[in-house]
Amino acid sequence: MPERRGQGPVEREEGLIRALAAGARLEPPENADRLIRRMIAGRPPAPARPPSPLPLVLTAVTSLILLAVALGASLSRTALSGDAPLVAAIVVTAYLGLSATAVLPLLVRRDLLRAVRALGVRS
Amino acid sequence: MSDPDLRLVRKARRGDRKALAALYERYRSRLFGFLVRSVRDRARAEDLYQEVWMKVIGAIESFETRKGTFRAWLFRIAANAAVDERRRAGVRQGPELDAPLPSEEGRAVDLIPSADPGPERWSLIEDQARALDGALAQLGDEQRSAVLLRHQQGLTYAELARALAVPEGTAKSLVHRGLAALRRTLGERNDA
Repeated sequence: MPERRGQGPVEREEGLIRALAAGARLEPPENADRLIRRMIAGRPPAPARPPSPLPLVLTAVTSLILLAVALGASLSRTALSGDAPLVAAIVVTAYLGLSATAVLPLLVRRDLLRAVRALGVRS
Repeated sequence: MSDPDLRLVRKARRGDRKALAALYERYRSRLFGFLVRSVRDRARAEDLYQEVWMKVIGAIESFETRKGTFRAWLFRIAANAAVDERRRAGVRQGPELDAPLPSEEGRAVDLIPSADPGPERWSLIEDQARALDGALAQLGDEQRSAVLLRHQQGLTYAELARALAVPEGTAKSLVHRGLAALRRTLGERNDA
């Protein structure tokens, strides 16, 4: 802004900053304002992001490993003792247990389908 | 980022229209003020205003709060749009100092707060605002944006650096050099 006679450098600097700050807010034209407001009001809600499948997969894998180790140890002891029917029972139980462990975490999740899709599996 | 912005941006990213509307309300007049002074033409500023908000609305979900404040992001979009517009229009060098703004509606006097200063002060204010507009027009695009964002919109230097995509030291330098150039231009004008 033009300096007036008698103004010092500090006053001139303050005057310049004040002049720059003037007009920081200007009312936008009504039509543009209305258009933007309509766009915001009509904006569809963001689609829900599919949950990450990672925790689900980790839970299932960890459970499977733990179960396999426990059953392996149990089977070894039983086979060494020579009890064949008990070995067969343990094998069936192990199969059912492993299947249930893999499926249960999926069943308890309400977003099963989303998780499956996120894994890239088509139902 | 100030708390209200952060909260609103998080909600807006999840599709909350009221939060987005609140952000718009907070920045609508500031953005228009910045654009008018950047391109010095109210009609072009109006086009840019719509363009910028459309980009913001379209990209709000991808805005990452850890990468800076909302207003730095908003004014970055605006500053880029203003530079592109000036290049499109071939306005690399501003008009002469005392030349009126291209649009009658975009007169420098519009940049003065609405409180009536009285008839005697009015012509002085108008003269000052016009002179400042002319001096701003003589700055380079980056310097002008830096000066306006810092001293018109009150961005911090960190926000300014984000908005201009430059290191903070460069942002400070742009502002200081811009102010020095304004002082020089306005001083010369006054001495003439």
